[in-house]
Order: sequence, then structure tokens, then C-alpha cells
Amino acid sequence: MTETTTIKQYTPMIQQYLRIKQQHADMLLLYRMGDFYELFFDDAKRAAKLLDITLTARGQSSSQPIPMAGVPFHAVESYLAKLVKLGESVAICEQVGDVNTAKGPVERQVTRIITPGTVTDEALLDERQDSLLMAVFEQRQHFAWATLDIASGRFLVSQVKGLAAFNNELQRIRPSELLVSEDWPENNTIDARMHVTKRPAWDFDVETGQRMLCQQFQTQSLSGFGCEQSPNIIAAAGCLLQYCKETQRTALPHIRGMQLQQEEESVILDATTRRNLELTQNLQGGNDCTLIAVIDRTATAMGSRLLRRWLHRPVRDHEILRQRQAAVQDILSVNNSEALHDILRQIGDVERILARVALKSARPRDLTQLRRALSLLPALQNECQCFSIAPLKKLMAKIAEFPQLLALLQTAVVENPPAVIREGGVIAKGYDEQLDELRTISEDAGAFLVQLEQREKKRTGIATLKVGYSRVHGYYI
Amino acid sequence: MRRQTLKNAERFITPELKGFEEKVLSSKGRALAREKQLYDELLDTLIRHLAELQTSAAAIARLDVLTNFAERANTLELEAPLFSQEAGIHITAGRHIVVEQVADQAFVPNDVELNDKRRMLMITGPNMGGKSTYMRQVALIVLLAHTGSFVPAQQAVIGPIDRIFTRIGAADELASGRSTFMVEMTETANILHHATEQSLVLMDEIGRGTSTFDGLSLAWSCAYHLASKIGAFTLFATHYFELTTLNEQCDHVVNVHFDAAEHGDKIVFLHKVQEGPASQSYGIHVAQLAGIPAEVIRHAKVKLIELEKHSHQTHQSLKQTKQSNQITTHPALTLLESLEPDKISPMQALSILFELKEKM
Repeated sequence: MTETTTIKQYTPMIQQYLRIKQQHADMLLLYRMGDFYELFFDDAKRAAKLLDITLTARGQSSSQPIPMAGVPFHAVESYLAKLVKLGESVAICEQVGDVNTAKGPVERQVTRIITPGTVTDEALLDERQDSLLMAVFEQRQHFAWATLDIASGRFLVSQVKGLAAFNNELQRIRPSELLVSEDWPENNTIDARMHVTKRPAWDFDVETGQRMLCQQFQTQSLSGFGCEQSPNIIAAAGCLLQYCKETQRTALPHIRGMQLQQEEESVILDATTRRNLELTQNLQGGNDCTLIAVIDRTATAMGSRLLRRWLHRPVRDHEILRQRQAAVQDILSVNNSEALHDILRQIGDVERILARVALKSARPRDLTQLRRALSLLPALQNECQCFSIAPLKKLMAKIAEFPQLLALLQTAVVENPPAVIREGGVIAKGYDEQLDELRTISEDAGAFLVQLEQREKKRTGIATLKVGYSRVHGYYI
Repeated sequence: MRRQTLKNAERFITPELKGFEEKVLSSKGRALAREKQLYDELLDTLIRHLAELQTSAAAIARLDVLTNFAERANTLELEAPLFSQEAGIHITAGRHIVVEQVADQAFVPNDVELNDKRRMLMITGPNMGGKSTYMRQVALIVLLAHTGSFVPAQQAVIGPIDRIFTRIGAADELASGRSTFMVEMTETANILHHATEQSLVLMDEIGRGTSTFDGLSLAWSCAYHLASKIGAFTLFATHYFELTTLNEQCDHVVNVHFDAAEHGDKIVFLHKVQEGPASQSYGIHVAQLAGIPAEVIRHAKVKLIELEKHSHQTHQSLKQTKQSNQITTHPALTLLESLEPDKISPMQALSILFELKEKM
């Protein structure tokens, strides 16, 4: 099918499909056709099975019908969630050209690639669980790895010696997706349950990685991150960043640096211990009677995720622990944890909202939630005024207030915006003159039509005359 | 101009209406485009402040967790653990934070004292007596302490800890195709390779997955290695009573046990850890609780008395052989000791009884 000669036997539309599919051979391609996203050929068969949707056919190719399966565009998110949970990667191909002016098939482009490790949509994520993308580079049984939580921008790197130690790290981190080089040796067995994506070996090139990382973090070198002497880490981190850029197709301004994790900083728990102690999962795989079920009463999902990270990576530094304890003690003595909980609960999951803002995939309701959060910051600061110890004061100093952004969001976005920007109605009246003017024209249409109707009735003498509008035919009389 | 014909109506369009349509539709489209543009600009403005916003969000998440710790400390009656540079784990009236929540009886708190002189606790006592819960609660308290949380204990002092290991029970890994015993040994190997004198190690019923002699010798040598070579802080629960003599060879090993009180013919578990080795296994009583027929129980009791006579002799010989692997415990005795009456069916109990008889 990759030969142009065989492509020619298809309709122009299928030809376009095959051209795009060629670039995304290893994932499912959802191809927008009007109100549907369609899949063809083997993709269709696979998706039909995975999603339990009907497999139909479209047209013929050498007298064979082309298998086709599709999902309606308005329900695509739930199907995406299902596919990602099953470990599939999906490329979404939209109509980008103008439907009315195009000759032949309308121009289409892949606008979004969703892989298990690079999901940021609220609907596709478990709110209390980090969703991590991980890349690993192996050299002489030294395993350098990098993980990125694209929904928060947290970028961690480290390395361990030996396959057993690496598998242990895998168990701890449980990435949604693991990137390895295509020449990964087979005897480096990885847990079969991991969703592994093979990347070309040159993606792990140290020089390219170094350049890309410096560019991303806007630094001259990587010495500030303690990675200058670890080319393997740079290889893994570089591959990771490259993959993100490729799938997100947009800038990633929320990824502002990476952090080197040293093994000896934490109390090491191996996979067996994690399981036996039933920290976040009981022996049956559920959540009942786990440690987290008893100790997690956090108010926000981002707090819950942080608690899980602390639990899975306990700190050895007694000084850090004493500071945390002192903070807890201080909150206890002020005795306002209930009031704090209440404010925090309303602030919500700002961490992931900000990541979506950074990726420009934020929904209108993300902005109203952010607005709500910003409006609560003064109350939060006020509630925390009584804190007396240094660690808490320092923590509170990091929480800024953003009166200008708040004012902007208040004037710009309506009170209850629709779920998507597509249909409009998000930007508030009075924010932009030009927009208001354009809206007035279409709103005044109603008055104009009534007027017209009256006039025409009088003119023609037909009492049942009506002026109306249909989506298909436009205005009629 | 005709536009559409319906069943009972004709739809037309006039030039005036056509002009109007174009104006409205285009202004609608332009309004949408304008709105999208404004929205993107809005996001751009936010992105310019992204760094500060992210810093604030991270601090809020931290505040959330710390507030959560405070609320939990208050509700669950947790106390702040102390950290010490001196090696050891000292817990007064510690509880199992999860079991405590779900148990319908009052939870019995327990102490633990591990230090330079007491590096290994050899824990014996009846099944269901609380060995497992005890070991896990120690690990959970140490773990919680290292998150910054308060812990379920009256007092806890914790020295430097680098790793926590557990080898608990026989978690079946049938799916992975490895035998229970293989899993057990792989995990044990991992512990013996990586544990240091700053590690906390929990060993529960090691050596159960193989024949009695193998199991006992393995358990013995693992315990010996952990106590004398590695010096890790170890909680070692075992049903091999022979191991309670390990403290005669290793200085840092201390016996503790869980007790049960006989209440007539019934048994009450005290869930309270005490110094010294356990005296009886109470296996027969547990079997009785589990509903093993009275006749079988009576038979077993008779056998037990017979066996205990032998056992005295074998204990003597065990002490003489010291570390050697030629442990001469009577096979019937060890079989009996390795029994888990709460896990066997009456049918199995009966066949074991025949086996016991044969071994005499």
C-alpha cells in the first residue's frame, strides 16, 4: 500500500488517508469525515474489536470492500479514554481546509497524537494518579531513565545499576508508557504489562538531546541540573522530550527544568515490600484497607498525588522530615485544618489546569476553575496568617496572588461558559469591542426578521407567511 | 425564488433576505473566529505568568498534604515520631493504622525495641496471634515517619533507615508461573544481597514452601546471616521453635512471642507481644476453632504429648549440633509444627494424622 502505483487505484480521499496513515503506521488513525471519525483497513478491524463498534465497509479496492469503523465526533473523548486505557496510541486527523472551497477531498492534518503516557485531557486521566511517560537508555547494564508527568511538567531523571534494580524502579514508577530504543536487547526483560513504545536509536543521541534540553530549559548547559557528566541520562531525557514534542505538536512551556534523583536520598522499598505493606493497592489489587485509603483526606487531587509520591519515595533526610513535622504541628496548634481544607477543596486541581494552559488545550471551564482558585488565594493567605514557624511561612511566601490575572479572567470569561470553545459564547460581553459588534449584528437578526415578516405579510396579504432559518437551506420565507 | 418545497409549504428566498443571510452568517463566523483569537490571547497571557502560577500550585499542593497530615494526626490520634542519629527503632504502644480502622475489637497496641544490642526479634506464637500485624505495623510506622506524617504510637524514636524489606507469607504468583517456594527464595536472596545494618527487614514464615528439614535449615541460616553477618534490624516470625535457640549463638537476637490464654477448652488470643519464646503453638486449639471433628482433635492431643517427650530430646541434640545442618528434630514433630490448622480441611487433617502415625 505504500507504493504510489497501488495508491492510485483508490479514490482521492482514500489516497489522502493512506498518505497520512503512512506517517503514523504504528498507531490508530482517526480520520475526520464530517460528523464522524473513521478508521479504515486493519485499524478499523482492530478498533471495532477494542471498542465494540460496528465494522462496516466503504467502497471497493480491487473489488474488495475497504473495512471501515467510525465513532461520532461528539463522543470521541470517551472512545479515546477507552483506547488509551488499553494502551493504544491514537493520531487524530482533522479537516483543516475550508469545506466549501476545497476541490476534491478537503485538506486534513494530524492535529493531536494521544499516547498512554502523554495524555493531559481531564477526561482521560485518573485524577489521583500521576500519569508518567518514561524513557530508558541502557549501556553496559547501567540504566539511565527519565520520567515526565506531562500533566504537571514534572521532569525527573536518575540512573540505576543492574536490570533488577531498574525493574524495581519500574514497579515503583509504573509509567503509563515506556520508551526504549529499537535496538533494546531482548535479554533485558521488562515486565510484560508495561506499555512499551520503541523509538529509533537516533532519538537517544546525546548531542541532540543536550541541545534540545538546553533549548527547552533556556540554559547554556545542563550542569545546573547535575547531569553534565551523565551522557546516558541526557540520552534518555532527550528522547523523552523529543517524543513529547512530536505527540503534543505545540510548545511545552510548563516544562522548565529537570531534577536528578539520587537513590540514596530515599528509603528504598522494593516492589514486594510495596505490595506486602499494601500502600496504595491491597493484595487483591483494590483500594480497600490500604494505607492510602486511611491517610488520604487531602482536599485537592494534586495534593493527593503529592501524598502518593511521598509515600512511594520516603525521604531519608531527617532535617526535611523535621520541617514537615514542625509544619504539621503548627497547623495543629492553630487548629484551622478544617477551614483550610474547605478553601483548598474549592481551589481544585490547578496543577493540571496549568499544564493544559501551557499546552493550549485548556477548556473554558479550566479557566473558570482557575479564576475561582485565584480568587480564593487572598482568603487562603488570610487563613494562614497565624502560622508562626519558618518552613510554613516560607511555603506560604511561594503562593503569590494574581490580582491582574484574576481581573482579566473575570472580565474576559463569562460566568458559566460552555464545555468547548468551538461553539463560542465563552468570552464575556464588554471585553472586546469588535466581538461585541459582530455579535450584535447576528443577534439583531431576530428583530430584523420579525420586521421583514410583518412587511412581507402586508405586501403579499398571506397571513400564514413566515420567515425562518434552517441549518441546511439557510434563511427562507 | 424557490428554495425548498415541503408537504404543506413552499419556501422562498428574496434578494433582500439573501443579502441579509450572508451578512448574518459571515458576522457569526467572524464572531467565532474573533472569539477563538481572544481565547488564545488569553491563554498566552496566562502562559507568560506560568512559572509563578506553577510555583504557587506546587506550594498549595504541599500545604494540602501538610494540612491533611494535621487533620489525620488529630482524628486518628497520631504522634510525631522523633528522629535520631543513633541506630535503632523504638516504639511505645504502636498500632497498625489500617487494621485499627477496620477491626471490630479494640486494637491491642504493642512496643518494639530494636537497637545496637537487639538487632533481631525472633517472633513466635500461635497463628492468628498477631505476628503478621505486629511486623507490618512496625514497617508502616517507620514508613509513615519518613513521609513527615505523624505515626500511630504513643512514642516513636527512629534512627537512620536506608531500606525496608519484607518477605511475608506466600503471596501466590501462579500467574507468573513461578512456584511459591521459588518466589520466596528469590525474594529472600534479594534481601540477603541488599540489606545493610541500616535496613529494616521483615521475615514471615520463611522456609514454609519446602520440606520441613530444608525449610528449617534455610530459615535458620538466613536468620543467622541477617543477625550476625549483616546486622540488619530484623523482625523474624517463625513457626520453627528450633530458631528460638538462635540467641544462644548470636548476641543480638532476642526472642519475643505472642500469647494466647486457654479459656477452658477454648482459646483467647492476647495480641500482646512479650519477651521470651512461646511455649505452645496452640495449633490444636485453632484446629478446634476451625471445626475439626472432636475425635481428630482428641487424637492429636494424645499424639502431641507423645511427641513433646521426643521434642525435649531433639532440642537437646539440636543444641549440641549447633550450626550444623544435621538437625535431628523428629520428622513427626516438625510436620506437626509446620501444620497450619486454620488452613487445612478436616480431610487433610485426617491424612496428616495417618502420616504422623507412620513416622513414629
